[in-house]
Amino acid sequence: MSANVLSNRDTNAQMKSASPQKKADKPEPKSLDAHRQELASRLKENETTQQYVSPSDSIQSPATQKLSAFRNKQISKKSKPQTLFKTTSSKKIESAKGTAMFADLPKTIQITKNGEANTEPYQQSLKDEIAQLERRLQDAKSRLKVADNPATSLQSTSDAALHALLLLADSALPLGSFAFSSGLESYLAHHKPSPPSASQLPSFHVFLSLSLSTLASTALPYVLAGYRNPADIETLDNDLDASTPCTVARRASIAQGRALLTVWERSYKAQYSSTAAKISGDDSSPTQGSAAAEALVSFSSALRKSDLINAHLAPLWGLVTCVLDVPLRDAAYLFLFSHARTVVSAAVRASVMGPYQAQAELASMELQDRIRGLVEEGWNRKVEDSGQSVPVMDLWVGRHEKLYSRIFNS
Amino acid sequence: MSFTSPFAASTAKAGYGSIKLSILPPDKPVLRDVSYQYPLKLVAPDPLPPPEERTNSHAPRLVHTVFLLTYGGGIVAGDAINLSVSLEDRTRLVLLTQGSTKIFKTPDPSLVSRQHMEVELAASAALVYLPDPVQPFAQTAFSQSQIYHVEGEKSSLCACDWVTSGRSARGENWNIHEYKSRNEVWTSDQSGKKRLLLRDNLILDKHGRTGLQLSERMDGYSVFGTLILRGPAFSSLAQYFMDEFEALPRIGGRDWGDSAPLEPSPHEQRRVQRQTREKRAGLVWSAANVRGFTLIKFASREVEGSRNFLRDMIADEGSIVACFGERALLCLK
Repeated sequence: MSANVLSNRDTNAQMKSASPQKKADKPEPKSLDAHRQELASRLKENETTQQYVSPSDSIQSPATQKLSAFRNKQISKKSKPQTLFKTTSSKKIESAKGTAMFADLPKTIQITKNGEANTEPYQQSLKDEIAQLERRLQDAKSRLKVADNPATSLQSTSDAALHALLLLADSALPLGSFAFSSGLESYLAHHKPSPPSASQLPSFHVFLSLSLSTLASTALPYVLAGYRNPADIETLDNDLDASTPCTVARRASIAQGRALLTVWERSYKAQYSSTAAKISGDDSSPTQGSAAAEALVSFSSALRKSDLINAHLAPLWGLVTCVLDVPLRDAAYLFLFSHARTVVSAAVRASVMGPYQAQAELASMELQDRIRGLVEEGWNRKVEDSGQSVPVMDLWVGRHEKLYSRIFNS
Repeated sequence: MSFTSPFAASTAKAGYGSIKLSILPPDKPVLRDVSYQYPLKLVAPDPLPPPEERTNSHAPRLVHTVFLLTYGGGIVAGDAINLSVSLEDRTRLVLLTQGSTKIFKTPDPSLVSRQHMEVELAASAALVYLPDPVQPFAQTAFSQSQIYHVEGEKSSLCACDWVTSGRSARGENWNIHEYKSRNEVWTSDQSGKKRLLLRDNLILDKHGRTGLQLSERMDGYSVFGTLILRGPAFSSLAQYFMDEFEALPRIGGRDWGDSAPLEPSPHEQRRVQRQTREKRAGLVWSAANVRGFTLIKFASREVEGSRNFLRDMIADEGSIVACFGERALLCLK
């Protein structure tokens, strides 16, 4: 039964994309015959085998044909997934591979277009499918071999990275971030809506984009540098401290940085420093992760001795994500996302919006695009070139101290 | 005069300039070198004795003033100015401009005009750099950097860096391609390792993914500035700023009238008057003590609002006028 439901759905979905075919057909009525033939054969096939495939699936305009051929090429290419949830997404593709997907169908069309198999297009497509399936089987087998050896397995390392990422994505982190609104409270106090009952949502949106822009231009370079050059952590910490012009922002950054360091020491260290040591022992050359772990240890011991060290959040975030072996791009993305989440959650508590709307804000494509774009923009920015891109932000944050009533620390 | 001609050009590169202030033993400060090349021009009027000289025996006998000028009153696209300033122990210098530094339109956003200033401050030297604001016109690209090297805790620095939205009379409102201004203070420890003490870097360009015009990002303000104070010569001024910031009325608070003293002192009266003027000018400011510096950030709707604020605060407190003379505030008049 479910097969029937699915086939109905498929038909609808495909019919849409196939509609331009009529136009494309006009100059070439000859091909209509071929399609009709094919349609009949596919129909028969469908009755007997109850496949999900609809007969009209294979009718495609030349443009769609090309597009799906390209798509097919992209999917069958063994690409290295770059996304956050690479394992799940690759699994999805894997499991879907058995069924007849859009990717399989264009093959038949390509052949009909060539004209050589005009009489038996479907047979040819079946042959093709078999060949493809065989290739996939081989592929899967070879991957199974790799997965049998866990030390070098790509799967397990990416799982570990995902696990670390999920740890860091906890809404409790950065610890104590709930106490900071990153200037939102002060901003709202400086922008009272003209009738006091009017919604503050539009001005919140402006603030969120400005706040992310500021964070990306001031702190993000330090995240990237902390990840890339773990040994420079003390210099980075000093430079970020020198670049933070107001006490309020400084207080917030240091409090969260120290909290992160404490979380590392009390919760992650036991697990992750041993793994880092193990990996480096295998390779007989120190990996970046173990170098970062060493830098982290010496930094936290230096923090106790020296007054010049502050432990700001951004470089430590880079360092800790490096030790946990999270890919840098994900670490940077998460850094900005955590900030957005902190600001949005502050907005909920400042009664700008409700919790459902807050989730919608975080889920929005706009936010995704913005964060991705900011990571892209800042990817090669040096720490020396970090700076304030929204000068009024310094004033809002700095004047937080002058608020009559406060519910946040920044 | 006992010093060599300040007009001997020792640098041949266009836009390069140098100012060297030293002590002629036993205690006479002299401008050892004032050289410049087109398009930069330096004017050094006769030094004046500071008003406080009679009361303070440690003060140098003379305070020098140098005006930084550019031909045409501004910086044309592609110009690069490179000035190095060095102040020896126990010298005082006032650096000023004559009118706002105009940045002229660039034919191409990638053609960036630059101004770079490198300042060496010996121990106990003091610099006052209170220029007029930078005024980038529409379609300009400008990048400036002021790098200060200080020696120990006793080098004193008072530097202001402010920028306006352009020719507001022509409706220009941050219609620039790019504006960058960097202020850095460095020091070196005994081993010679450089350490960054302060970095104040402003970057206004099209980046940031805000989806907003630059003018919208500025929240309606057309002047932004930073005042950096450091060292013993400006400690009382820094304290004054901090006290006044502390005394600002609370945002969102209500005045019930029970906290005001019955007979306000003259100082409190002045403060109330100044706060009224600030409110009218739409001026907001904040002050913070960071790493031995006092940083004052301000913004206002009009240039005059910020100018009046700086002048009122500095003149009310009075220590700059006493140590450097009235001339130090010329750009704030």
